[in-house]
Amino acid sequence: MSAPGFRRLILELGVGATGPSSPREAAAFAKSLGLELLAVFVEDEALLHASALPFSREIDPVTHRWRPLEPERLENEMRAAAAWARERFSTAAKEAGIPETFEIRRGDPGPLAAGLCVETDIVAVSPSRIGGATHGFQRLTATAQGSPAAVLWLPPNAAPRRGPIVAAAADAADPCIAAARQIAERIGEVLAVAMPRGGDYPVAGVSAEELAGALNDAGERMIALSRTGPFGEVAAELSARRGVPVLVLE
Amino acid sequence: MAEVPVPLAPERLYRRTDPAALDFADTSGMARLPGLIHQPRAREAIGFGTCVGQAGFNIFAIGDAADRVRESVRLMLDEAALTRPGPPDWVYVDNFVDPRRPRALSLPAGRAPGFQKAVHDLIAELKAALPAVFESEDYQKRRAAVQQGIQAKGQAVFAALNEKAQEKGVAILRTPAGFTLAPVRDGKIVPPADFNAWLRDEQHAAQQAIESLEKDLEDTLRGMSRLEKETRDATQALERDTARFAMEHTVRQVKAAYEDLPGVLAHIDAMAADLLENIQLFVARQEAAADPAAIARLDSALERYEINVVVSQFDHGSDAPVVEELNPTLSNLVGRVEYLQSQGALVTNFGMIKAGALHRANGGTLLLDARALLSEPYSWSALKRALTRGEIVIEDVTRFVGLTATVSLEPDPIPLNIKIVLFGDRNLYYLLSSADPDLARHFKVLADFDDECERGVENEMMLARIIGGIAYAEGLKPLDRDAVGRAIEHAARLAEDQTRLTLRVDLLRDLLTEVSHWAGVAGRAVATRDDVEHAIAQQIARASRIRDRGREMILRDIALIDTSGARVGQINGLSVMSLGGFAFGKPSRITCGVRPGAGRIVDIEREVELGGPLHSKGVLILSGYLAGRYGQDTPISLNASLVFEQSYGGVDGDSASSTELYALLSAISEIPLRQDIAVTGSVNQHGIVQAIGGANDKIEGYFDICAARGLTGTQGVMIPASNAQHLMLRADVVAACAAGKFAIWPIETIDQGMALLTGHPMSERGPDGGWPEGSVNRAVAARLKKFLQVIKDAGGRPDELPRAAKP
Repeated sequence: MSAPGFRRLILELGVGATGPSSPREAAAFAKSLGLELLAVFVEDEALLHASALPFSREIDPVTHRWRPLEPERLENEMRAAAAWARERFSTAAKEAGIPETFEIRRGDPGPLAAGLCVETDIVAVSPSRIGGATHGFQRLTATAQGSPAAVLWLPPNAAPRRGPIVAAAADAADPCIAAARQIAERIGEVLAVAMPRGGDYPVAGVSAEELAGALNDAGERMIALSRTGPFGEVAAELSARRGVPVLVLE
Repeated sequence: MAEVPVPLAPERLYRRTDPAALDFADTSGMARLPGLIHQPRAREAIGFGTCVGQAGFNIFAIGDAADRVRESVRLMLDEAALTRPGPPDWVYVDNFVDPRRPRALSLPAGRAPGFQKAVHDLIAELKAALPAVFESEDYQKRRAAVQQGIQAKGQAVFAALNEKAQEKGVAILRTPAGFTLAPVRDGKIVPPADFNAWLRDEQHAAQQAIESLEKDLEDTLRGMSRLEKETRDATQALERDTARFAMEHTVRQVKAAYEDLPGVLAHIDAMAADLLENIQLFVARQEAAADPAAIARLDSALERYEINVVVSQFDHGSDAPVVEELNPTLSNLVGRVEYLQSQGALVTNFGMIKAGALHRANGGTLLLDARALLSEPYSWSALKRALTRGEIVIEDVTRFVGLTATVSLEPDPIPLNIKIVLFGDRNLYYLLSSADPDLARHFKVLADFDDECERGVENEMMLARIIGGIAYAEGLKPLDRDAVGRAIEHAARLAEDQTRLTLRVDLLRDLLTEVSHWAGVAGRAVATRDDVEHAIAQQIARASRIRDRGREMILRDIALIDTSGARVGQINGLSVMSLGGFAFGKPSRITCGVRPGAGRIVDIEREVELGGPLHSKGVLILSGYLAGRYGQDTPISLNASLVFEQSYGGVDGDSASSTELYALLSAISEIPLRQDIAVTGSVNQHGIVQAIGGANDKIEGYFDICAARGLTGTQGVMIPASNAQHLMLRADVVAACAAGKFAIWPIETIDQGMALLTGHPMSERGPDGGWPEGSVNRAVAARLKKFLQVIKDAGGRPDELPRAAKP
């Protein structure tokens, strides 16, 4: 039985899961909650459009050299990237011992992901330091945030560990508490509830730094929070600061 | 006039041991005699050699049998080792700066294994402790804080760039291999068709914006690379600090036990520094826990911190080592570097350095069989190099022959402080000393072992104790007094001398082993004289197939040997054959033919190159004898030929020269010689019969033929009188002599021998200068005169006659 009513974890591998260990973390998460695992590699159509512009070129982040962005080569490299992503994903799923499904789609990552998602889905995203600011990733996360699915932010290079499931709640009625409780029960951890300002929040919300500081040495395994609450905008940064997955609930 | 000699009395044919001189009932509990027995010269030499510490005073011990020398030297060296301090232990460790050159460390005797274990335990503890430290909440928090701080900078920079791009209507796109920039409108990338529909100015502005952002993107990525490096450096620094703190106490504990050893402390410090540089070997263990191959690779990498104990006195007490290397190949001598095959390549490290005999004996003594050493390629040269340098350098034999196809190690040389004792037989020593001048440089002390000692009551008792000691040490049955007496008598037979005893302990040990066996077969707890006799007989029987075949040939008249009657110019000689350590006497018919000639004696053996130089010398002496006795007033006008009949192998030695002279005199005088007597002995130009070797074997060889045909009572053997003291004959020979069925005549001169062989005296010249009637001399002189006349009648001078062949 899954909890809390989730059935599927969706991992976008084209622009959404750029962290090197994200397939493994996603697979481990899916297994712990008894979720199906779906990986989607979206071939970003916008990128294909950009490559057709006469002045388009790309820079290699390692050598810092520029070269023309050729559509034909880009197609080939996308296929190679998809194959590599599939291999990584398949290996991670096998290690976790869960069945996996892998799909390749072409289009705009955001609408594609939104079209896939339902209420019982969790969309996992894992930004790298520089990948998080790209157009495709922002489109994906923006759409995912607006979809009925929950969003799971995976930190880069997180080590699996045991610890309480922390509900970062705006108040005692925050629905994230119930969801966090169900998850904790499901995976055999305890529930901890954190309300940093006791319900007195500024309009602009609470910064990730403040929230992370409030958690102090909780030693949590995962943080759950509500998208509409005062912490909804800081999930990505909070995940990176605490080094644990952050589940943003609808 | 020389008298016909009298046969030797039976008691002179064999000297029994006086049982009264042996003050024990049997050898039970008789302990082995310590040290070198009856070897004062060798004892002094070895004592001197072991005491002198200067270079070059190594010992070369020589004797008749290398095995006996080895055993004796070993006993003495073991005694000497007890008084010398044990040498230090040596270990090889990784040279963390240059792994191809492992470092050698010295520790006080016996402490290397402890050091090895301490370091091994340290690494084992770190393998468990460090991953736990790195998994701890504290460390994870600190690492996350370090990384997050830097990463946040990167994210902020990139976010700023993204914001700037958005302001200019440009988007940053991730490509599979990098990043690109593209114009954006209404939140979407502008498709090419739309872009082409833009006004030229709009297109130009977009292009300019992208060009300017490209520069910013490039700078940002460069900055990100710096941040990446900064992150790595900061993370590594944190790892090192964490590890240093975690290791500090454990490392300090290990060092505390070696504060007296600066070299060891320096190594531990170097190891700790290297550990910090390679802390990933520990950190990565947790991530690789599910992958046995990865764990094996990490464990393999951690082997660099282990200690290779090359040599330790831990198991040998505190005495100086005495090591014997039976197989002194180059690698067994100076050590070797072993290799493992890994994915088609040969790999090695300091842990695969193996000690050689020089390492194990360093600080003590190394015994080497000289013959074995010289038989091994490169070993002798390597030993000399080590002695010259004063250090052990591990040399790879494959490099000498150009076969090395892989990178090897060059371990630190280890200082050499050693006493080498070579042992071998004398011939080898003399050969080596003449061929290699370095021998004298490196082996200044010669220990020359006596092979025999005088036979007296005291030494008989000494030998009895040696025999008892061997039986005790080897777990053999004890021997009763008579059995020991018989073994002593056998020792005299081995020495070929009634008055001496062999010190060939190796031969006695073999005999005693067989004695013990036969006593057991007979169901006796204590071996008796009969067991000794049986063992000796069995030793002979096992080795006597060739001897028996030879006898059979004689008894079937295939090899012609007469044992009765008389013949002119024919005599029974005696030779000794030695095959595989077993010697036996063999009768041979020697014949002589004479004719007028120029006074030359032809040695047919020599002519066909079957005779050795000593044999030829003996034959030439006969010419001197003839000239001295018969050529004073007339030329020797004969040619004679001498031959060992039915001899198809080589003949050497001069022990048949008297025999040949008897045949020659018989042939000239035409007086027949007794065929029931066999003869041995060399002769000089004056007719004096001289001692020979192998008298016992020769007598027994002829006796066996006569006995097989039936002893007549007239048969016997003429031996040089000086050989009488060497007789230790078999009991059946002695018994036959005692019964008057066989005789051993001691002969001093040719005159005595001819009288016995012919029944005619040789006689002295009479007052008129002539030889008496009926004497052999007269007959010889008369025949020579006839030959001279024949030559003169032919109109020539003796020295002008053609020679039959050159001598």
